Amino acid sequence: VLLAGGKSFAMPEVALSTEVRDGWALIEEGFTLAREHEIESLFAIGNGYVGNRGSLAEGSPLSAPATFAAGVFESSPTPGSVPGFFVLPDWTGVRAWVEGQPLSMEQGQILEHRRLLDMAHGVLWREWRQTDVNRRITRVMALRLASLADRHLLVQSVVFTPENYSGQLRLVTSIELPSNVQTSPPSERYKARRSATRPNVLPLALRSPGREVTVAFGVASQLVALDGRHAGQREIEITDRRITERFTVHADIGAELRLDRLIAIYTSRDPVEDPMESATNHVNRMLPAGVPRAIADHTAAWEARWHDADVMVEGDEFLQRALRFSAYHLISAANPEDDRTSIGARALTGESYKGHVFWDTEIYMAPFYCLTHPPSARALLRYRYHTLPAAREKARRAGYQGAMYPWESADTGEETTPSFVIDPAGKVIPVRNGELENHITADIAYAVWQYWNITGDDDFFLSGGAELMLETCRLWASRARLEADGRYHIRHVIGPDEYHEDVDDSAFTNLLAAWNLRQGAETARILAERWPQVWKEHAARLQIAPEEVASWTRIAGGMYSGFDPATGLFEQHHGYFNLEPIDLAAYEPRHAAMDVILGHERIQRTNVVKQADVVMALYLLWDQFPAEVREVNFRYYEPRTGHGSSLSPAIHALMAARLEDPALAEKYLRQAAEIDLGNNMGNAAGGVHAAAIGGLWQAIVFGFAGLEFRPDGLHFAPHLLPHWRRLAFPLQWHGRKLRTWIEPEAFGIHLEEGTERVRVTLAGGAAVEVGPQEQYVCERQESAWGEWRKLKKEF
Amino acid sequence: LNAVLRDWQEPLRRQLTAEEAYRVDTIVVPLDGSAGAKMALPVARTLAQVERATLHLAYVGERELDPRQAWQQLGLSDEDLHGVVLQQLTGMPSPVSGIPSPPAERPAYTLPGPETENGKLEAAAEAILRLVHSLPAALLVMSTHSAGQHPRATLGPLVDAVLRCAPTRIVLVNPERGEVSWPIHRVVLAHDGSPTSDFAIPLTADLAQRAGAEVTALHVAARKSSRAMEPGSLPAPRYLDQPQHEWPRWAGEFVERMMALGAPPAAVTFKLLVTGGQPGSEIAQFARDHHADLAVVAWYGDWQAQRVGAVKVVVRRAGCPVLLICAPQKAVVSG
Repeated sequence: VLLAGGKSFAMPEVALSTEVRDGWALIEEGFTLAREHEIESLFAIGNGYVGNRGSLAEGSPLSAPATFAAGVFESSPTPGSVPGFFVLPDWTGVRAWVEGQPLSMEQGQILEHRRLLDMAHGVLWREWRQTDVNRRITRVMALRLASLADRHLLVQSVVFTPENYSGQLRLVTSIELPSNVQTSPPSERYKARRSATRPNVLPLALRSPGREVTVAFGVASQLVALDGRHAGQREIEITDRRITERFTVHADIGAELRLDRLIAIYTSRDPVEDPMESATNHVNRMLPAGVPRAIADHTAAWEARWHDADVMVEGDEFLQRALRFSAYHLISAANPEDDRTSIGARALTGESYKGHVFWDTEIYMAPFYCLTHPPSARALLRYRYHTLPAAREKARRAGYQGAMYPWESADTGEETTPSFVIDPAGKVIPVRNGELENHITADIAYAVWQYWNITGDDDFFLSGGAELMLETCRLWASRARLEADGRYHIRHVIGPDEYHEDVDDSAFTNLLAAWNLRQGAETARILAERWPQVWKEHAARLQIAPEEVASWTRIAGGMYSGFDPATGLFEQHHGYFNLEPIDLAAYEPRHAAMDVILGHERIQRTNVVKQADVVMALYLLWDQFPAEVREVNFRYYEPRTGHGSSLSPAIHALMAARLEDPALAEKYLRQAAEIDLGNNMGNAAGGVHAAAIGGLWQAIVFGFAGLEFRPDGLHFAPHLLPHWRRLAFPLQWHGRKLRTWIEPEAFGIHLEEGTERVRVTLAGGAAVEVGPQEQYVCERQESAWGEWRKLKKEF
Repeated sequence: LNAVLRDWQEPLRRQLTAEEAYRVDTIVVPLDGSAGAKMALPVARTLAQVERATLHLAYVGERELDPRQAWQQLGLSDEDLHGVVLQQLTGMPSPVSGIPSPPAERPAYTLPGPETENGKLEAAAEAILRLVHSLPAALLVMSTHSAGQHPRATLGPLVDAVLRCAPTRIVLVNPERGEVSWPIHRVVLAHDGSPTSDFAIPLTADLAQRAGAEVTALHVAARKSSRAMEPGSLPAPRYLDQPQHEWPRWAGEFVERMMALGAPPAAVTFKLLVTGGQPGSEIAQFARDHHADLAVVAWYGDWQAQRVGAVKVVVRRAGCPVLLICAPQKAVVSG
């Protein structure tokens, strides 16, 4: 990828340039002010510890620069308010003046402007040529990154080139809080000050209001001319809200001036004594090797992650980019080193959703981490273990036993769902999800079990996973009520279809609750059998009697599911079949969600389903249902689903692929891929849709590749789209690293790392035992898979 | 008049400068002597007063008249004359003007164009717009119908011809409202989330600020729409994962964009409301239900196109004067 003028930018000390390989770059050409917020989200950088929106360094009327640190929230004493992300000081601000004239896209003429996200290396580039009012042409090339190799480190480098003039260039860099962000004053100890020993490392520390988390920055900036000498003069100004550095330099025509900045960030959540000291020391340690070394380490870390995560689809350029975009943001979102935070609905890319954690993480994102980077998955699930006390307290307050997870949670695990919303029609609408959307408890248990099933991480299971399974199981045992019909019912809930509130016997909720109950009993059985001492300890500490375990199986078996054997249909919730039918096709094409079109009250009286609900249960509990039940329910609910949630299209793509409906699968796959990237309608302005991108990855791996985990190994049922030439991806299973590739007529598998064999089966085909470093291929013969053939050379 | 008509090659659509977009210096009201056309006057007078603009009354007739005689033919009083400039656009057939043709006292300037009824209407419309464009920061105010025309079924032929020429800014007044005075307390701004809609913001804000009116920006999520959206548009969200988070975010984004792209004065407060349905009907219904004094709609300037159906519905059914603001062509995308 080259700048339009034919020049590329390279940092000579490291193998990094704007010449990004095809399929690995997200590019925004030109400048459309109205799109600025969504560009900032899409081009965000992050490493799971810190995330930064891709704002313009000099700002614009619609710039909203923001940096977030995972787990750092602020809260207000205002009744009804909920904690939200604390917006950290903006460290990216760099403003320039040429001969006293501001270098701005609003003055003069933009000759070229491009932002490029190098997803392969986690680097945000900006290329800009600007003519000022006096026809001076300045070329700016900039990069920034949040180091994946060193999560406390942020790097920024900006090169200025006066193309047709010589004159005075003034640069002002700053780290400052946006004016609308309040902060508690730091204690005396944390007052901003110059470092006596290292005058070029500047500290700044702040505390998040209401949460009192200290956030400290250490900053080192350096302006160098092309020959490496220090250039110009520097002035420094430090206040409690801002560090400002001003550089003044004579710029010679054609000579490049590079501003390098290293920024370290620590918070009082980190296991350090003094965040400010840690931040300044960190920068001091990094200074000798400087920016080039930081970039080299960072890019190497990204390459390692991509080796284990890249999904390749040959024959579909847009989808390929969308999959890379998905994996890029998922990798950017997780921090395996911190198991007391989780990923919010918009990850670290935007302030929307306040950084709150939903079922999105466990059901939509966690599978990606389980199969590509288990330590990240483990950390996310350990967050739920650490917040178990809050979940227990929520259950207790509601009059139930065990653990009842919050629909929305932040740092403490307490319920953080807002209690009401004022919709744009001016109506105050109570929000009951925190009270009624209880299925999240089973969703979390599902993810815990799935992680253990995929990784075989017994240490995780024994050090928290099992306890979580038992406590969530207990919730359902107390939540379900035995009624006169001899069945257990769960009343007053909201299922995934949030258009219908306070319903009875949500099929999804009841099915997942029954699953949770069975797996709770299974957990007790496994513990007692394999780790009797652990079971004894758990049973004593949690006061679990044998009869209680027996009751879990009984309740699960008696749970009402709304299944009608005559039709094979699950009724989504009690009374669903009697709702006003709406022909969704009559509203197509449409740009708005159905609840916006029909209104909040009307939609509840109709049979329009917000998102995959029964369909979601069919997917998650795939093995529990016969093929005809899966088929008939999908065909019933799919046309009644309005996809008013970004979580919906990917699951429908997955299900349609598994049910061998390629046209429908492709339609939904494209819709899922376009949620952030496709229509530029501001969808992503508040941050990328982290669950949707996790769902897209699942649609490919579990839908089109048809991966299932079976007790004896891995099972694949590939359903490639006709125009795909090849689908390939790596995966990790029980400590082994495998690579698989699928072509229209062939399937290949390679056990790249691991010492134990893996059994792999193909739908309708034979099984093969793949040993360490072995590669096997199986080809279709007419309509059936043939014999496995061992390959000698790497494919 | 000759000065007004000196350059026939001047394009009919003229871009306002950024400064002009915020203000009105001149109000132009075409009158043909019919009672219907006169019903635009109370609105024009209020606008002239609020904007401190000069009111130009343009007599549209077959022949040029003595100014005093024209004044009388239009049925205007001496009080109406105060501070008003009279312009004459002649060459219109009687059925359009509604005024009996007096004997020619001196040679009249005849509008060029075909001698057909339609041709004369088009020529009259062009003459009106050339007059508007020749005046500083002008705003055209017209009644939707002249005498004898059914007020709701269709627009009058002259205003229809004017709209086909895509006037930059025009206020359409339904004569049914009568000659009663016209205060501006409540303004509803139709905003479909597109940059085109943002072109309506400066003048709307200026009017509201000067009149002390409140502005409600109304966004209608279309029940069914195949129209491609402009780049940079922010329609009602396709995905509302969690309304308790999505609505505040979307509304904030919508307002931020309006403020950044439309740049209204800080003193004006916009209230944002969203509803679903057919845009034209919903906007008109909202204007009626909330007793709006003015509805403002930005449009694409192609009166013949199907997609301005919503604009036509608002003009006919809003129950209040409607200000149409035509976006520059560069902001328009086909779809």
